[in-house]
Parts: sequence; C-alpha cells; structure tokens
Amino acid sequence: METYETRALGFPIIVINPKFKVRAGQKTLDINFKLLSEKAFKAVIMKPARLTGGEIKFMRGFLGLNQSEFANVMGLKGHSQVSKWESKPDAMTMMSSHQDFTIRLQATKLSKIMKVTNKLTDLFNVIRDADNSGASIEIDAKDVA
Amino acid sequence: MAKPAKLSKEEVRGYIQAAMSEGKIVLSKHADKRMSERNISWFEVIEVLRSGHNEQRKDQFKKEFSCWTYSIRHDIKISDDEKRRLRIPVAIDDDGAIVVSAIDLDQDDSF
Repeated sequence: METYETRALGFPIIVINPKFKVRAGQKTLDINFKLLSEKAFKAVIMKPARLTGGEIKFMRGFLGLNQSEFANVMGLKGHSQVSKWESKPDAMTMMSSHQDFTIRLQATKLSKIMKVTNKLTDLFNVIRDADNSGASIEIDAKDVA
Repeated sequence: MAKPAKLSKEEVRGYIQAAMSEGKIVLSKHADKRMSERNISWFEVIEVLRSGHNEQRKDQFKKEFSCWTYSIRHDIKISDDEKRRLRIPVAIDDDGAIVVSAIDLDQDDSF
C-alpha cells in the first residue's frame, strides 16, 4: 500500500494510495483539498486523543477565524494562548480535557458540516483519560478525489 | 517551442478565482514541504490567493518547463495585532492553478 504524508493542513495526514500528476513541471498531489479538509475536520473532532497545536490551527483555519476571533468564540481570555499552541504544531496543547472538549463542541457547532451527537459527547470520557495526541489521521485518496 | 505569453495581473486574478471556485487548486510536493517547514497552512495559502495581488516583479519564467509562475502577495491577519507577510508562487494551466511554493517574507529574508 502506497502512502504519502501531507502536512498542508497543519498536522500530519497520511493519504492512502495517493495519485500524482506532473503539471507545470511540478509533481502535484491529485486530490481535492476542500474534500480533504472536510474529512480531516471530522476526523480531528472525533479523534480519541488530545489535540495538538497544529490541529488547533487547522480547526481555526477551517472555521475561517483569526486567533483573536477564535479565542473569543472559544471563551479564551485572549489570542496569546492560541498563538502559543499554534507555535508548537506537533505538541499536545496541554489544555485541560474540559477545554479540549469545549473547543471541539464549539467548533462542531460553528462548522455547519457536523452535528453534536451522543457519539461526540461520549468522546469526552475518552479524551479525559488520553495522555497523548494519538496517531496521524489516515484518509484514502479515493475519498477525496 | 515558443515562449508562452505572460498573463496580465487581471488575467492571473481571473484564472485563480475561477480555479478556486471550481476547487481546482492543487499543491506541488515542493510547496507541501515548504509549507510544513514554515508552518504555513492550506487556509493561509487560500486566503493569499483569494485576497492577494500579483507582484509582477517577482514573476518568473521557468524555461525548463516553458511556463510562468506568478507571485501572489498578501498580508494575512493572524490576530488583532499581528500579520503574516506571505508570497505564494503559482503556475496556471488548463486544469486550474498549481501552488508551486510558499514563502514567509519575515522568515525568508532573501526573498
């Protein structure tokens, strides 16, 4: 099985069976990034592990917010905390599990592509006990072609 | 092969906007790598392409591939008091636009 790791969304995503095309002399990944970002958003929200700085930046970008706006809608005191998280994309944010869950819940409500379900609320117990940021997210190229 | 004509600023903007509306913006592997190194996200690239302007003095003709790359420049608003100065070189072909690289002007002072 061939795979390709892209970090274009701000955190590692493993694309399974990627297709490449040479265009304008450049080897390009032949996927639809709008579809990829929607798949990745759902995967990050439901990830059974703690969020990383890169994932926070991705969620903020997906919602079309700057750091100040993101801090505001998430009920944070200011954008400096968001800036700190995003400056270490691969590191766990070390925020409380309650805050982690609140951000996922609020992001879900704002996203318009997901609904708050029991599956999401049940996730709180999983991330409360998680002590790492989990593995990379895997997405099959045929799902985002 | 004859050298292709360089597009005007307006044409570059038109082609990029059309590619964006049709979801026909793709990344080169090189751009993916540079974005990772510089912590530049896909959404920041898209914002530059949506709101930026063509910085014509930085456009380049790639003789080996017989194509132009057009430099799109924009300051992204990171927060109420911080901006990020980015330049995104793109190539344009019949299928859309190819993001060729990603440059943070505050990190890459040689540009």
